[in-house]
Amino acid sequence: MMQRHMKTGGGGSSLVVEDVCKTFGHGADEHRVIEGLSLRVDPGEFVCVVGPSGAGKTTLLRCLSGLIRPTTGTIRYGGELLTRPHADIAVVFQDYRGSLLPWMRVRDNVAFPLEGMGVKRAERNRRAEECLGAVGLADVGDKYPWQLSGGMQQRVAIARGLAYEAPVLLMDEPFGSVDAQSRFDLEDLTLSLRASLGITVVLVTHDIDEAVYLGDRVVVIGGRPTTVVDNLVVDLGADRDQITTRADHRFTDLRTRVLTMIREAQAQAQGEGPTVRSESTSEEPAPDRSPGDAMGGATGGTGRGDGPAREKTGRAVR
Amino acid sequence: MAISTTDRRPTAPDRKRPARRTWRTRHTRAGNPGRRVLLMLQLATVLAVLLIWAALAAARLVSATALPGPAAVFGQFPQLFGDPVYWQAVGDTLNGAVTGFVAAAVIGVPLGLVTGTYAAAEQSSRLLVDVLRSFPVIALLPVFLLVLGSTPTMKTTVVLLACVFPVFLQAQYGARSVTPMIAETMDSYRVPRLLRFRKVILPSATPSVMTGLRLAATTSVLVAIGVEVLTTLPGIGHEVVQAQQGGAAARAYAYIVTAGAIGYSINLLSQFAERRLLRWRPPTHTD
Repeated sequence: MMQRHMKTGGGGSSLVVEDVCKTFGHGADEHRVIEGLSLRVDPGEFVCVVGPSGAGKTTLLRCLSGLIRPTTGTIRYGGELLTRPHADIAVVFQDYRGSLLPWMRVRDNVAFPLEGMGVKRAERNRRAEECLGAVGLADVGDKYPWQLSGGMQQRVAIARGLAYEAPVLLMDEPFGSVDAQSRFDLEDLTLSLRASLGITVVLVTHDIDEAVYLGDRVVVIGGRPTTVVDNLVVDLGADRDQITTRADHRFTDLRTRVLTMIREAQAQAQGEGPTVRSESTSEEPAPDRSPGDAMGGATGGTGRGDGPAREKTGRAVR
Repeated sequence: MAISTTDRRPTAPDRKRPARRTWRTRHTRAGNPGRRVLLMLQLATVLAVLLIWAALAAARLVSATALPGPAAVFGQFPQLFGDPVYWQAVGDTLNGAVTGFVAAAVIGVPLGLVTGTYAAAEQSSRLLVDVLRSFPVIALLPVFLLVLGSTPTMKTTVVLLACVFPVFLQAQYGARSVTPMIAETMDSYRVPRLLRFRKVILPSATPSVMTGLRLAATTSVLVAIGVEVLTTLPGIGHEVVQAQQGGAAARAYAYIVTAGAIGYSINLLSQFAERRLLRWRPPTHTD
């Protein structure tokens, strides 16, 4: 497939989020979106962050991309404090219509970030074509974004992320505004790109099925303010298929677990008091959860025994 | 302030995806005679107004020295076209208007784009700009006459002052029209400042800048002629006054028609330029 000039191996360095809080506004208007969130993403991992709408998923992703800085806590990439966008990190936003430049042809859109890096025109175009080919859009380079369908535009945005050759790809609800069929295609495209390029992907979504289908690991966030509720390893293997994987009982079990946790976190946030953890979770022998989070699980506030901690966050709202 | 034109994109159907082409082609084919009919109607309207004008003039409701008929007015042109005085007047007016307009564009566009890019610059300059642009330029004419005298430089200066604000404000507005989404995307891809200015802010501001330039272009001719009417500076305005005072009403009207023709040509030119510069736009932007 594509030739890549790797900087630090396939997936770059690890991304470590430690005890991050993000507050917007001042004084009486102060609104805490994220509280005490910790997370670790290792090179080559595909991590899906899933949570209900309004849970601060986009805020978290913007922090991870270095676009905004957390109010307290740290985000480190390869040990280095992340305070502004990093050359190793590319972002694909949900709003593909808004993020492509309408006055540039598709090829120029894909090549544009490279121009800022001082890459020569011929090389830029070559890479842009290569990346467009990789997302299945080999013949649309001369078109303008508005001439493409939503799904195709999102492919262009992904191609732009790939052309940037960052080992880490952050995706914010990337398939949220495309039709169902394109969505499946884009999910599989993302999986295959990740498999062939060995990049690290952090994908934020509200769609539980999508998170479980794509991720090596699903980080469930929720509560008010948001923190990590749970962190589970998806043991569905590398080869996934829209039909068989989604019908697999392990898939449905995982989905049930994630959904239960999200509901629980929401109930707590809404002040209905702490609920008992769902039966299905405790009954399961939990093969899908790596003991001790050897794969680089969340580093804090996610263990099963953290009921009191979550109660505390629940109370903090009132 | 909408960026007008009804027929920005005659090529749009061909660029669409083939699936839609049949419908589009049929639509266009049906649309073509429609356009011709529209043109006929527009010409007919112009003709009707000319006829009413001729009727009014013939009925002598207004004296012939105040309102000569269209035939008398247009009859002046063969003679005027052979007259170097006519071309000298047109040249003088255009010279003042174009110089002032270009100066306004050279000052207003970059200044507007830069101040529009930085919120602090835009906010701190706002009060001053709002106060300055509230002065009616023509009312300040006596002041300019006093300071600069009755010179072509004075005419150019007045045109410049009248044109610079619409250009400046539209450029500023255009620079601010970069969406937060695009700004954030450019941040995340670490696009350097100068490149961002050239390839993101500039194209994003172009529609708005074009509107400002078009407004200014029309204003420039208007103000140049106004200055000529009010002072002794040579140009179309001066000729209108001369002809009128000399009792040559038809000749005065012929100069007025000339001024109108210049204004109309400027509009056509700027529409053409706009269409060239904004070719990337989807057809939905046309109305």
